[in-house]
Amino acid sequence: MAREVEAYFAESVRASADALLATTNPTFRFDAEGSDTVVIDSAGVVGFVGAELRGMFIVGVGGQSLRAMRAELYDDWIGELANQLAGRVKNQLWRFGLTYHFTPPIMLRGDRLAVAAQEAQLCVSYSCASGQCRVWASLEVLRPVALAEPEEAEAGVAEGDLVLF
Amino acid sequence: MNKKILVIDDSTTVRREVVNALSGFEVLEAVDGLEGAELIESRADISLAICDINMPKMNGIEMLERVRGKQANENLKIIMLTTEGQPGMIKKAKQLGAKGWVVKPFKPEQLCAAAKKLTA
Repeated sequence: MAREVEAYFAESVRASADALLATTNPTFRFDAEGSDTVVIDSAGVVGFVGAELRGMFIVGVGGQSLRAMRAELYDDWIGELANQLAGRVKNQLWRFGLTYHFTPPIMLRGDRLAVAAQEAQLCVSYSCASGQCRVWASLEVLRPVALAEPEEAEAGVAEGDLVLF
Repeated sequence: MNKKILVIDDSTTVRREVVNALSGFEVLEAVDGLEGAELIESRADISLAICDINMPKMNGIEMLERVRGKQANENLKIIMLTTEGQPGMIKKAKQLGAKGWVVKPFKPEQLCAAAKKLTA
């Protein structure tokens, strides 16, 4: 069954961000009401490009308690979240024959960081007792492509798994 | 000679998590593939390297290619610790001599057990 790349990308980002932010310390939960209240002070940006796709992921975090908890590693931790999000989405898209290379994270700092709506196809908010998180993602499809369900996927290694050869 | 483990990752957060997971081992750190390769080539006491893939300067696969080409490193074991889990990349790393593959976020007890097994 052919699927729209944009729709599957958005699904993959949302599922990957939900799963990733459930593994962090502290864990974040999806916040449907967060769109008007989230205040982001630091964000990790990861760009990606492949034969069919290009775009970026931005993971922004805000909260004095979170900053204090992570101390000097606050920005590094956020950058790693953006890196892991890019990897998780890549693992999802690979099953449908799409792939990309992605950059190491670049950090942005500011006061009330935000991405203009027209620059991001997806914006999802999360929160925890210590702070807030927002994930933005954008996608540009470089040439016509339709996703087809793979008949039989070769098994990869799932998140959190370790395989010895 | 004490066996040492080298963790190669551009994220300080990940390096710190690996060091914490490997309590009991002496762990060295490198911030990218190039620094990792240079450390491996300059020391004979590293028995295991745990290496990220997506890093600046030199990525983990390039580092694997570089150190695998050197006879002095033939006893070194390497585990890839990455966000990626596609079979093509795993196969390539295996062909280049990697002994394991971990997809982040890793389980500390599992990584420690693998380190003990590979350094025994």
